[in-house]
Amino acid sequence: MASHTQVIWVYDMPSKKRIKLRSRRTPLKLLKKLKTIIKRLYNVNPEEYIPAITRLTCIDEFCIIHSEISSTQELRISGLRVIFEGSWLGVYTHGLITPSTLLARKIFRDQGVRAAILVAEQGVKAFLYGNDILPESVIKIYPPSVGIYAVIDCVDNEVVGFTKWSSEKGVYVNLYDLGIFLRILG
Amino acid sequence: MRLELYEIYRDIYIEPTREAYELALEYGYLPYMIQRYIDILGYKEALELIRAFEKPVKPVVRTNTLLVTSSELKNRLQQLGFKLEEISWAQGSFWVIEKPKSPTLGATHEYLKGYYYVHRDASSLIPVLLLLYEYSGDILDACAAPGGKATYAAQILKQRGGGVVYANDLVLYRLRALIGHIMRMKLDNIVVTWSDARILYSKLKRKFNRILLDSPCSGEGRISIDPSRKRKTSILDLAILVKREIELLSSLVDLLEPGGILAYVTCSIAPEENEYVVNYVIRAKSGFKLIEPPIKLLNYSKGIIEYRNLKFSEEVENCIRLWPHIHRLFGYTICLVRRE
Repeated sequence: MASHTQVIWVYDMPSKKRIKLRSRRTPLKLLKKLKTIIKRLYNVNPEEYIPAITRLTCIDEFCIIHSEISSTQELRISGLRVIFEGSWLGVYTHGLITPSTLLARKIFRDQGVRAAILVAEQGVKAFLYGNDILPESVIKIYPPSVGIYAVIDCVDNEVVGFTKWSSEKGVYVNLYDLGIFLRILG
Repeated sequence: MRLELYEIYRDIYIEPTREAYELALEYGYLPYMIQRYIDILGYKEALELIRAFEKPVKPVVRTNTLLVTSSELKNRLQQLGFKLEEISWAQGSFWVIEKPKSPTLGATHEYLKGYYYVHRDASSLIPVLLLLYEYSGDILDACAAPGGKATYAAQILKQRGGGVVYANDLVLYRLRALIGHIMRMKLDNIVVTWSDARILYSKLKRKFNRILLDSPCSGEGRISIDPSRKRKTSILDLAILVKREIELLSSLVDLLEPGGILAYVTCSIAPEENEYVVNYVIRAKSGFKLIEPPIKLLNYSKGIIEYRNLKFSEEVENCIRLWPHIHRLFGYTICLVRRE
């Protein structure tokens, strides 16, 4: 009962657009994929970082995977629309799943930095406005190189988003950055 | 007992005098609002209030102390050209005295990383500090979006070791912004629900020890940042708002545990939206009391117990009022209701 999808369409006054909001239990296939990525990137046991039950909240095509707070089961059963809760674990957009910066931050603190690029201030600045990262902005690459990289700001070692190396374009393509909350969620 | 709209309208109707009309014309207000200020404060002080509304208020940066220390944030923002002054009664929060042309407060790296929240004014910090004074546990924020108070409460509770904020709102696109703030600030103890707060009591199978009701109101206290509020709310509109405010407060106090406290908050200085509302609810329902704030953060003004032909219960004086011309903040009213 609690896993049913709630789909809500709402007319957004400021942008004069309709917003599509969906909330459901994360499909097992998607969850498995996130765990595989975590294992591949960080060589950790994903079960330690990702709870068994998680939820998927999508605002238009931007989907957030997040943990579930146990007390909300009861709220859903009583018919209340719970649209977000718990800890942010991952992003699923355009068919691509990426860990959250929050999760990467936690894993790096516990296990050390892996699969990441340390980026110079100017590169981070451009990245946070949605741009890609040029190789000359990269100060250090943390192995393993498996395609996806967490982006670390050299100023405070904070994880600010994720990129994917594109040999075709010769840049680290922006998968998402922390500015996305402003751009998508307002 | 149910109060009809016409009864509210009859109770709050004001016939402005000539001097109110003149002042209203000069400053662009609806005359009944000016008449009200004169009735409460007298002509001279009403003029001080109106003039205070013409002055800008200082925005506030509240540090997300879960991610960064306030001194570190202050240093970083000062390096960007912001001049900050610590708010003595709200640890980790700063008044923004000067701003550079670029970046804006909402576009710095520090903001995107969730190191701080920007409040339009310091008044919205007060209800959270009063409600959570020496408290740890769950809280319901019934009209939470865009989330300044909900994220502040979550931050405080997390630092105290526990408690979930149930942040509800009726307006979905505003909840979307709340989710953005929660993710940006890396908070994991907030549950966001979408519902009319008036029907929460029928959906929630539990009660709360702390409830925050920042009621949708006329916003009359925010004229300094939104001058359209000088003419936005007619007396009939006000009566409609008052009716909804009574319905909200009346249904939400039923979600309080015995001994629990609800903070009824409006960014309005209208006694119709504040003292009138709480007075009606505590009289209509038994077992509720208006209590004094547990801590004196600043020299609050007291609630109004008599206004025109309306007389309220003595305990309404326990409500606190913030006046722009006295406190240099938004006009704001906070009443703490305790269930016996």
